[in-house]
Amino acid sequence: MNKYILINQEAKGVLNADKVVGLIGTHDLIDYDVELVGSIPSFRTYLLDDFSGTGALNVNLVLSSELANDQGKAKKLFLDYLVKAFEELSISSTSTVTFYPPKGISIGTVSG
Amino acid sequence: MNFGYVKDTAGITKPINLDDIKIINVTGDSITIRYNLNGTTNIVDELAFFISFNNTGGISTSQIESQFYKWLENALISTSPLKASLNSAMPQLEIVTAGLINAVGYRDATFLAAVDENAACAASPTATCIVESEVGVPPVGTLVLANPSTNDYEPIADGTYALNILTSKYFISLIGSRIVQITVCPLSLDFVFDPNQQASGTPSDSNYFSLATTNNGFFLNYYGAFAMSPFTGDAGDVFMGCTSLSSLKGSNDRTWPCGYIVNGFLDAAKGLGQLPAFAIQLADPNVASWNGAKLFVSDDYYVTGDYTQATWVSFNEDYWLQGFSNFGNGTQFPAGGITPGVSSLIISASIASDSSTLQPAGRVFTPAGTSISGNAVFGATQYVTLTKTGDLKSSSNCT
Repeated sequence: MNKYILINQEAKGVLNADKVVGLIGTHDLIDYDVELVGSIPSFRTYLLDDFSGTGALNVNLVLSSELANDQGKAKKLFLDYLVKAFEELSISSTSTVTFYPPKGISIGTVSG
Repeated sequence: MNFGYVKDTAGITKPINLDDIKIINVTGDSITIRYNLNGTTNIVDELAFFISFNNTGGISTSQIESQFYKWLENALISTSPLKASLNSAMPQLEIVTAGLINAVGYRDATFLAAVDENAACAASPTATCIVESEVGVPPVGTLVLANPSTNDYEPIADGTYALNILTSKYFISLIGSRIVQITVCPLSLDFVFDPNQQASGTPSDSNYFSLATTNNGFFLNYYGAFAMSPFTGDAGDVFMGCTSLSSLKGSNDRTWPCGYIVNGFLDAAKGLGQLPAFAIQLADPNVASWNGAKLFVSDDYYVTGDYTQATWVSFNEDYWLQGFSNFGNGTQFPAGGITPGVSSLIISASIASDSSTLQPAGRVFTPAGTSISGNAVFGATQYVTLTKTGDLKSSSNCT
């Protein structure tokens, strides 16, 4: 049975901002990363049947001005939060967990 | 859902999918987890979760393999992410990277150990590597892996290095095969050619760097030079043949810009005095070979005549893509449009003579001279092929 990480648009605690804008299925997930190319970093997933190039899921990350000046920090923060959601899902009896991005990062355009 | 976890030297933890593994390859500095049965020797752009490590504990490959499979057994039955940590199970390894490697995510480069910035900036790195950075100056934290042969990616020992990416050189410090400090080296040039030193009827030999194409029809209308005769030489490859060298600086020289200037077709009213200058960086400043040299252009060199203050960019397909369809300031044909433009020399595939290297029709003629930076000496004029990347190749002085 597949399990999913639901992607919330905003960080936890942002008022009236609980809105799932995408999901990551874990069964076929082989890798993911935040690519720092250009002014807008993007989170990408790589699946068993879609693993090269620009990835299967392509999520633009909208950064606060502070994090925009340190995209390396933004990347690490985002991936640290994501792996926590992953770990939570792996020990959970439920099929989904909701991933909230760190403060200073919100989810922009989601494509795939 | 069965996942293990691995943390790299950037401090990022990644999950490892343990459900559909087909093959595991273990070497003394890597573990490759493959999820399909294709391309088992390839890593880039394959379903290959690549874990690269420094074997700081000096354990054998068989020990690594044994410990890895033990970890796999535990991770598959563990309900605790902590117990599924590969780092904890293999403390003798410093894991520098973990994940898929896609070709769009890195650039090829070369590196060489260097004691300080001066040594790095003067060095000519030759060891091949990949840099996990797609554009610009690689940021701190960027992964650099040695790539000594196809499908072999290895961590680089902690230390300081010269790093060459395309035409840019850097002094870097690596820890855990990641950049922890990076300094951009100033551009080191070997030759600077200023066409503004040419005058009608009076060639400046040391600045006689001029461009041509293998198609002898392209320059005919340049600056209204309708009356000029074709550049003499072998029919069909007029700018490739050895006889073309003897036509330089003569009345039939329609190379751009020098041929036009000395024949009186390109004067101050048409840009002479503010024409872009060209420069060349040799592959090795101490070896007199144009092969592998890189061509640069400057639109502001004429302002000071000081190459260290001028802005230089590669004369390559990127230059054309940035909007320089012609050659730079002062080069627009008054009647509108120049034939050929940069695209004809650098981009045009329709007249490519070497499709395997995307070599277009561009040729350059280089004068005799001595390197500014090294001791390379060129004793004679040569003709050289210009490629899309701005690299020169196939030089010849016909001796």
